[in-house]
Amino acid sequence: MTKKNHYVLKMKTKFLTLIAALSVAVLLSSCGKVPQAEIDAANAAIEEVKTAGADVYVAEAFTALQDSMLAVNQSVEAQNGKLFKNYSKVTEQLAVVNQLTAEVKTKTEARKEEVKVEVAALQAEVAALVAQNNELVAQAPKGKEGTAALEAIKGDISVVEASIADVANQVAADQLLPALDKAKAAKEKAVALNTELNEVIAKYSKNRKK
Amino acid sequence: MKVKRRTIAGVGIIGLAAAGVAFGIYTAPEPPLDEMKIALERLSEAKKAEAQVYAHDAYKAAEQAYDSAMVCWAEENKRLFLFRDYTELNRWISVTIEKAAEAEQLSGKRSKSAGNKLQQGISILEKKIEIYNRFYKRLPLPSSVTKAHHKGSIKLSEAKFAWENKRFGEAEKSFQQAKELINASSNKAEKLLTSWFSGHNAWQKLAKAAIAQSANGKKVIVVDKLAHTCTVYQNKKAIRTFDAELGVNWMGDKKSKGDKATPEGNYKITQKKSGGNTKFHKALLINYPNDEDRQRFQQNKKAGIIPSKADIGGLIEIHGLGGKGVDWTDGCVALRNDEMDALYQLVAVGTPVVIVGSIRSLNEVTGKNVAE
Repeated sequence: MTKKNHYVLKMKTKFLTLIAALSVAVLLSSCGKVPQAEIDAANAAIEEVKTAGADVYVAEAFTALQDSMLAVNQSVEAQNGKLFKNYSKVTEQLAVVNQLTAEVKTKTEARKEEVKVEVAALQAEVAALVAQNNELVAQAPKGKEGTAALEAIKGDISVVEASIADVANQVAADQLLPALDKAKAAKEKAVALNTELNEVIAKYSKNRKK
Repeated sequence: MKVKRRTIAGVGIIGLAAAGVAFGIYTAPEPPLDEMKIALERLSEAKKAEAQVYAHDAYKAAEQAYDSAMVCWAEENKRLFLFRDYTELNRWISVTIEKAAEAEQLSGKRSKSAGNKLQQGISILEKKIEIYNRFYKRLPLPSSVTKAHHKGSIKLSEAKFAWENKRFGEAEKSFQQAKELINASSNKAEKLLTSWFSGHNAWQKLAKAAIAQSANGKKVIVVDKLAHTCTVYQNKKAIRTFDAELGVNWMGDKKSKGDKATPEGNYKITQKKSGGNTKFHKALLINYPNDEDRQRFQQNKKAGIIPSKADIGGLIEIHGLGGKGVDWTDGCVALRNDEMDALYQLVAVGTPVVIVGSIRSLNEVTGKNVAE
């Protein structure tokens, strides 16, 4: 073998070694990129549905969503520990998480709308009852034996009115579930007052006829 | 020849290296994947059991242990696979599982106990509302007291609705607010009633004397303000009892004109009115103010309890147009018209009329609740 041939063979071996090393490096790193942007986006989306009230209105579904994201984090770490990293499963899991997030968002909005409608219906019912109660108070006889007789009930009506004003404030502040409780309680009280007033008026009318 | 030998040597070295790597991978410690899954599941179970609310410390410890496990895992992944050691990770996993289980168990117990406690509290407050409605509702209490009572009962309903919807934190908050309002209004009402009842001995003496007066067949009227009754006694026996409605501020003795209080004391009928003489169907005028009332009125003026220009008032009657179910008069005693007709027939001018706060004692009226 000439000196020249020997040099060419040496260069050839070095080149092949370099190609092999590069191939191994590419093999080890090409499939092994953490889908960080997707993970960040998923976390941001979860935070967004939480801000929208998912943890309050659809608590169970939201917990399941959080658990799914924690499972994704585990999968990422499992791949991080491997020599030949493959995050395709993580990407698949992230797709499921995104799907879940969208579902939770829809459910939250639907539940909120449901509560809003329920509160609005109760507000209307209570407003009607308060108006009816005020009308009944106005029907009370005038003069010495007049409206003073129903003064105590008037006080009760004002408490219901204040309560229903609070409901409106809570709805405006997006505190829909406490507003729903308050509206239900106000309705309960307004109904009781209505019954009481009708009894008083009926008693008075009955006595007046005698 | 030399090149061939070198090539064989190179391939041999690479083969050996590959075998070494393969052996290393084979013998390298495996991360505890299944255990991590279990830890996550336990944490999730604890959360479902409301451990964040009822076993906050234990749950927080479990959550922190899980986070530490994840950090530990990430740190180990940074090492070359041959040098990884999952001992610390396994320890954090064990802590997570242990604390999550503890939180779940504690939460179960505490939520049950908190539930029982709240339900117990709700039923106590409901009883208080019932007592208030039974004993205090008809009392002419300050509007601040009645308002607090009504606000309290609405808050209690809110607590019940929140509890039904499993929003325990809000249920507890509304319950505490209801408790404060209901207790305050009940205590205030109780205090006022107890203070008014300091005159009970005098009332009892008056009533006893009146009943004794009826021994010889004479008719005597006894008005029991708390019971809202007007009873006619003859020969020491109650011959007729009518439901009575009183002045808007009937609790307490009448002090001056316009205070809408029904006077307490020993009176007699001075005039019987019917037809055009009264606008209240029929009426029995009594001699308010009597000498005792005048004396007390002057004393009150001197003491500054009533203004110096105050008028003692008058025209206190037992009359008709009652039956409204509320106290509405300016201080008179109102009966239903048909009952007024019956009373009008039974009595005459000069018939004694004794008006007392209550014949029965405070404990008899309210049971143990007020006295306690």
